[in-house]
Amino acid sequence: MIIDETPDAGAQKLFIPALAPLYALAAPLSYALIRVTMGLMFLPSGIDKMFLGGNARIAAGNLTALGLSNVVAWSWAVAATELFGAIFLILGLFTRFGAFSLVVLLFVITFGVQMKSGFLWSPRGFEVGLLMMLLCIAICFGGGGRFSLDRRIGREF
Amino acid sequence: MSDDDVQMRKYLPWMVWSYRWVELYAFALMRLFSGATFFIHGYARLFTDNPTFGFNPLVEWLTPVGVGAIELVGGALLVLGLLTRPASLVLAGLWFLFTLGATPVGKQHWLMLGAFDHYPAMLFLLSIAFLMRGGGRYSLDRRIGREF
Repeated sequence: MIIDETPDAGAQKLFIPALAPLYALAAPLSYALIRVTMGLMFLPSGIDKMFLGGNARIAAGNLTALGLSNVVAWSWAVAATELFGAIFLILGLFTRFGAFSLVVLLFVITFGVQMKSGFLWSPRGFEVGLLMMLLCIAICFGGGGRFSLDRRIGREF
Repeated sequence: MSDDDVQMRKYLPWMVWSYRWVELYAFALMRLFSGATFFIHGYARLFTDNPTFGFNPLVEWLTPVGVGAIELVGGALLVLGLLTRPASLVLAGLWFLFTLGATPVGKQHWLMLGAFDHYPAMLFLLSIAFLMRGGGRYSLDRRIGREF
């Protein structure tokens, strides 16, 4: 038995029974929607850091502020993690590996970078990194789910 | 039961211990984390001196108290998995307004901005996912046996 995706028509009495066919269609997609959403959250940052010079920006900015040596190498590591992590999550390929890489990255972002701005997202606080990290941890637990390349291939981490 | 029962071969079989015992709870944890985030938003809007964080012209008509009440109650319901679908529907509507009203910064396209600018869209899509799924296996909805 894997994560909770089976549309359990009949297990649950509905207040509006007419909606049952709609739920049977939509419910199995919900886990995949969250997985793809998390991937899409990283895709623009990954493309920016990999191809549009964003890695030089974080090397001079946040990574230096973290006190790392060899910031250029770290900036490429961040760019690769975000780009490939995003692609893996969107496709559901090597899902647990991709999600875990992003958890490590988000741990540093949350507690190393965003923490000093407070909690709320509007003054760029750490709730953004924290919620994304927790959701990626949940994806590490659940894996790719029914609509993933992992499942199609039949192997997963 | 169905195709959720498939057995997957593992690349690293010795890693299975790290998630086998929590695998079933993955979706419930997502609901819990998201609900807690909404709840804290609501608390911050109602009980702290920063009630209008993230506001834009499209949500101003709801007032900070209205938005705070929606997020506090909706977040609590999501955490419990009680009335999951109605709560998600209202939260999705609210964060749709937050997403639409987010002002683009500079000349860069909205979609190419960073995670902070996509965060309202992320919360909107999360709400849509809980609207699609309902409470799921570990929720009060399931315990009660009836849901919307």
